[in-house]
Amino acid sequence: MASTMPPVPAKDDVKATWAYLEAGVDKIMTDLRGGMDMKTYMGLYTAIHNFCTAQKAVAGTSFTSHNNRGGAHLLGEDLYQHLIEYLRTHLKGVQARSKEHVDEALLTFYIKEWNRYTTAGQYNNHLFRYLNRHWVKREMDEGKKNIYDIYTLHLVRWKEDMFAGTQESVMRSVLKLVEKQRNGETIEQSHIKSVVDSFVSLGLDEADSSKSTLDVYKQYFEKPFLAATAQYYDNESKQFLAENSVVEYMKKAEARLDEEKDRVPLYLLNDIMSPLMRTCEQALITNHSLALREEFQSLLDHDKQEDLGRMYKLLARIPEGLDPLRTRFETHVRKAGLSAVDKISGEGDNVEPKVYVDALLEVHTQYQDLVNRAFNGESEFVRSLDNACREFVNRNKICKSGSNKSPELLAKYTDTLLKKSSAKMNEEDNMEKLLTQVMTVFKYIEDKDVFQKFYSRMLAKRLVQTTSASDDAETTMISKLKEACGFEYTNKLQRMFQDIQISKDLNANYKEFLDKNLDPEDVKTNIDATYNILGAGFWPLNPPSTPFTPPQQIVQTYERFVRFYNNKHQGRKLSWLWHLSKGEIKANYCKVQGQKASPTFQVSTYQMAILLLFNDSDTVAYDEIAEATKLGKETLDPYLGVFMKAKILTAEPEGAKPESGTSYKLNMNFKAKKIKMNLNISIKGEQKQEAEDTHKTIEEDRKLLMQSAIVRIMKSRKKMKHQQLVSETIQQIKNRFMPRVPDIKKCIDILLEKEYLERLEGDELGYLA
Amino acid sequence: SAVSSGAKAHLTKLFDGYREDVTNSPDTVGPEGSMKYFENLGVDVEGMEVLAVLEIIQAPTMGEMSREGFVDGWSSLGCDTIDKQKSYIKTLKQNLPSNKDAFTKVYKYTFMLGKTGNQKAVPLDVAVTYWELLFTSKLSAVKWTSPKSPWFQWWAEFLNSQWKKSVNKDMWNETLKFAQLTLQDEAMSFWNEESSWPSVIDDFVEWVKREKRGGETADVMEE
Repeated sequence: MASTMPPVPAKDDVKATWAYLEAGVDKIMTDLRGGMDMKTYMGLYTAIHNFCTAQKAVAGTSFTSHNNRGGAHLLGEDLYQHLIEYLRTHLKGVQARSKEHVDEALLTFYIKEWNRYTTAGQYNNHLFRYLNRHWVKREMDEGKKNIYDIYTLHLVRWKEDMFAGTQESVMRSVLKLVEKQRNGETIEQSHIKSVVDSFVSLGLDEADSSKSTLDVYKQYFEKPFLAATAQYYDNESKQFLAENSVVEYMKKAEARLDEEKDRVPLYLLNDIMSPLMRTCEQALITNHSLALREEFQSLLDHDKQEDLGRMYKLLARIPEGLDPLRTRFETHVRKAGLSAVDKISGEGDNVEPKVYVDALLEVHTQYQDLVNRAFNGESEFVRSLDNACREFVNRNKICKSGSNKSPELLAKYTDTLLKKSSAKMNEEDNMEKLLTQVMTVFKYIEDKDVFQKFYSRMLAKRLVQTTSASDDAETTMISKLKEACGFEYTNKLQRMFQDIQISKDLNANYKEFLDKNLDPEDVKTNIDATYNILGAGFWPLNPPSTPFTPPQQIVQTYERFVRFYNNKHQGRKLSWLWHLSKGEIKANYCKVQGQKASPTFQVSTYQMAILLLFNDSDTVAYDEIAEATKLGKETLDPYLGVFMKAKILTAEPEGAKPESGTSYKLNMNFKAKKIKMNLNISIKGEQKQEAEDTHKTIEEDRKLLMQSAIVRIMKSRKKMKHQQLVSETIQQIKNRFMPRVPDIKKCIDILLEKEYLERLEGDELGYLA
Repeated sequence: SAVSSGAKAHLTKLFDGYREDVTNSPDTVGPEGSMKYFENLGVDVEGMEVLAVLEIIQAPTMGEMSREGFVDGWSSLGCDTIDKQKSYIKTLKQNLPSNKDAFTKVYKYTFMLGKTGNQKAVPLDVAVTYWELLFTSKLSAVKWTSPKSPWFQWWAEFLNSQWKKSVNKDMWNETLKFAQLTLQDEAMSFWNEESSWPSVIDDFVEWVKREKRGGETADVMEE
């Protein structure tokens, strides 16, 4: 091998030197496989070194005219130019041969040539390293354009003499291959990867040849690749949708998007991921978003969670893709809620609280589930759900008869949960679940003050009548309300609870006191009694609506307690809520059926007063009863009715109305069925009256609440525009109820009249201290 | 000054002449004396001009004059004789229909005249009577009627059939503002729910739209 090489030429002979070098370079380029021994290689290297360090070049060469520097010359331009000429010629040949190939064969050819060429480039770079280190370096340091290290020079030549003329056909072949793969065929992916790599290698940074850019790749690979992708999916999606349902199309689109995503790591540059996805989304989703959205309603109607989830995922990928869905979703849920209420409101106004609350919850649960499963629990959909629920909870058919129906029914439902019921005791964790559900509806209620009012009345009843199922459940509910609405909202509820707790201790103390201080005589007449001391300001309880003379039998007992209490708490005034008191009396005059024992009647204190009159006489006249008890007719008559119905008393003459002239006789033949008999039944109409009263006080309370909010705002602001005052008032109050603007204005009217406020110029109001 | 103290002496003497119960109410002229005084002035006690005079002398109520108001009021205008007062009133009557400020002064004072004792409001019938005087008089600067809208009649009808409550000061004063705006803008496009009118005005607007303009709206007026 070495023998074929001519001897190393004279160091200043350009022609001879290049001739010597060209043979070596050509061998590297075309026959590297044949190998090159160390001696040859060293010979070539030495020739370059010698030439570059020669004192002066031989005249007559075309390249050196301007390269005549003094001192230790570093020559090299001639060699550099000769190398360029060589590469040009070589690449011209390669390009000419490339025309003989198309498609995959072209790619194979291109890649093979590229590999051979770049490998040679690396060898040459090494071989010419003396040139690189000195002449090239100095040229570049001096800021010469278009001078590169020898390897880069190879790339520059390829780009201009090979790439420029072939890239279009190469890309055509690449895209054909990709299309084949998209159509489901198997392709030689490595070809494309090599093309990508070669395009990337050609991205030279003009400012710094040691760096590369993606410019060439982006322009000649990415751009046509994306365009072809868009075209492909445009065609495919249109055709697919023409022949298939939207539901099927969504599956297809989803699969395609996954496929494209997976394609990137296989043979594309990771850099393309984002633009590729955007391109696919445009063609597959954005261009068909209208059709997708059209399908949304029908999917909702048929509760197709999986398809809805797919639609969510697809439209979530494009900007503002979901907004129209949210609007439709909100409308849909609202309608579902309204129609659920319509269904149960068929039987008139008297809807069972449980039925109502269940209907609301069912709709909420269904769509909350859908939001979580199909819409990924996304916060905007949660908001749409909340908006819809707030609408149908507060404004539905049942609320129409009175806007405060929802909080009233919810409070009633809660009452049934918390009440002792022999039918079914709610287990503890089930109770927690049920109360959480109550809070779900509560969250949507706008008139929270109405709920509070009803709830506190019913809590008062449960506590006073000891019908509460469990202290734990009561406390849980109160703390849930506190968490939702703050301390002020539950303050009175907690105080009520405390009063009962304190009363328990008080009763225990009183019992101790009695045990110590009661004479044996007193013990005989003393009646076993417990007392609840209720703070007047905290309990939503009305004073008795009728005058009443308590029966003589209990007077001594309760007066003894009053003395005890006053001794403990001087200056406190006790007033008796007789209408809420109750007791048990034993009917010694009769027996329980089939037993020897006498029955015990559970009665209200009013009833007790009536029945005790029969201790003295078996027959008592209506007027006598009225006189002895002092009970008003509207209370006395219904209670007599209860006794008649229970067959404990009979009227004389038979069937007589409760009025002057009628007498009542104790039914001595009364046969009790049970040992305890509850006669303490609330009188009809009482409950309805109570609800009406509650609503009435709500209106009053609201006026006060609005007025005090207005005064509070004005006190701190002193002066304020009317409209601003109105909106600030709404702001302050809306977590209790949604105030109406005309109502706020009426309150302003009142405050103007009371001279808390004055009218100033330009729609302003002023605060008068 | 000397002049005004002289004038004040004249006025004091003039006032004394109309008193009825010199021993018990030395500083007050009652209904009879007031009537006599207005007769001498040539003032129509059924007309709006009487309200203007009562405003000048800051009469505490209809049919009563106080010494302080009488003397201060007239002396500040330099009218210490019946003749001077007569000529002042003559000029005032000429000016009132075109002088909104003078009219507003009289209007606002009229509310004081309508009140009895310490009450904060004027009974509705009294208020409507005064409104009629103020809004329909030839002397009024705010004659509350438009070609297609007999505003005052509507207002009175609305108050008597819907409102039926007494009239407080805010409502009284706001009514004048409202009346002036309706005269500029018969369609009431200046009004909206959010604006700061007392509720009674809001209710009136709704009532007019519903009862008098066949259920709305502004375009009825724009024809």
